[in-house]
Amino acid sequence: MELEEFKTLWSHYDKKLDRALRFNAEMMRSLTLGKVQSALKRLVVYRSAEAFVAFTFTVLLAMFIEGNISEWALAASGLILFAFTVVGLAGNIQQIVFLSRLDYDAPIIILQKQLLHIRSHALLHARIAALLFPLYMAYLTVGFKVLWDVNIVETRDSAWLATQAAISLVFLAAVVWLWRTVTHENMHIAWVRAAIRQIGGESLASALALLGEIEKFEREDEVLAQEA
Amino acid sequence: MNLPTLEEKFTALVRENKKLIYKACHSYTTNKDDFKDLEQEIIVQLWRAFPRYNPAYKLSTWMYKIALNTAISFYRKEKQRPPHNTLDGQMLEIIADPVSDEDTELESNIQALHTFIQQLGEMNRALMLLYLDGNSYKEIADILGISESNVATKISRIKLILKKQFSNL
Repeated sequence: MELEEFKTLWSHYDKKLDRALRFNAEMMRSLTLGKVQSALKRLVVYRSAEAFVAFTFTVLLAMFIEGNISEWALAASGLILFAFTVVGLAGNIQQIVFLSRLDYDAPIIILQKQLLHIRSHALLHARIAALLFPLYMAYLTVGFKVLWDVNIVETRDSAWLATQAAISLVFLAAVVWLWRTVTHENMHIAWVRAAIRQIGGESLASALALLGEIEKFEREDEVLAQEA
Repeated sequence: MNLPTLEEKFTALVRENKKLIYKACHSYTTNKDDFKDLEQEIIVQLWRAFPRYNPAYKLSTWMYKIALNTAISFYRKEKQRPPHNTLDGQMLEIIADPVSDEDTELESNIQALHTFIQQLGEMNRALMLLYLDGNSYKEIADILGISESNVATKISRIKLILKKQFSNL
């Protein structure tokens, strides 16, 4: 069978729909036209709440830095956490902008990529959180100061600090490796797929699989442009 | 004489293009409940976008973009949805269409073609649907967001798969 024969087959199907397809306008009015609250609107509310929390932490950390500017270890630890909170806040604001601009009459590749970007939010958060592991000392330093008013770096000897630095380096190597491995390009590896499911559930895993398909679909354009 | 309201215009639009919505739903769902949910979701998205529709653009292109974008994102959510509310009805439905003996083979070929389409990836499925519905390469490229030459390459590739799969028909 040739593709043209399939087109003929399809036109038979089309004619069958002309004969037999019925549309219930009353049902459409009662079921859909009144629906205004969409899942996307709910997401905007969630992301706004997250942005508010991130903004509050950003302000608190800025106050912490300002109050401890004379003690380098405290100020530097505060600055590291501040930078991460700012990145998180920027990510949330970007998501809210994306959500408010979503346009279903955009070309399929463009809209699907935007939707996938929104759905992979959990993975982005997990990756940013993983980056904090090598910097756990910053958490400890800020935590001890806030909770017990102790500068943990000043109270410990240089051997202890060297040990923490070594642990941080090990974490750093592990996180860099994870950062490069846990991506949608490696969804064919069982443990990566399992890890992604753990982070964002089946919806994230399937969203990333579609992202792979879209990228493959688009790649042809690059190849054709190179050949031209 | 009263002018039609936005809702009346929209109802007429859906009525005139019901086949397009039906085909998108049929290509991206495999059971009746999912079909019902998807047809509702497509109509909701069309209704939301309708006030912004620019008549300078072809209506079918606008509708395909919304229907297929909704179908592709719906397909990905399908597995995690809660059980369907059985009280909801179906807006688009095939009424009894008597099939004569000579049509039986045709019907089974149409079914085989549907099965083939549903086996394709989400993007290729959209491409195939647009092609079989008689859209030009330019229109397909515009709806999908890829180049015309990419459309041509992909269609020839699908042709080969089709030929191989249906060689015994």
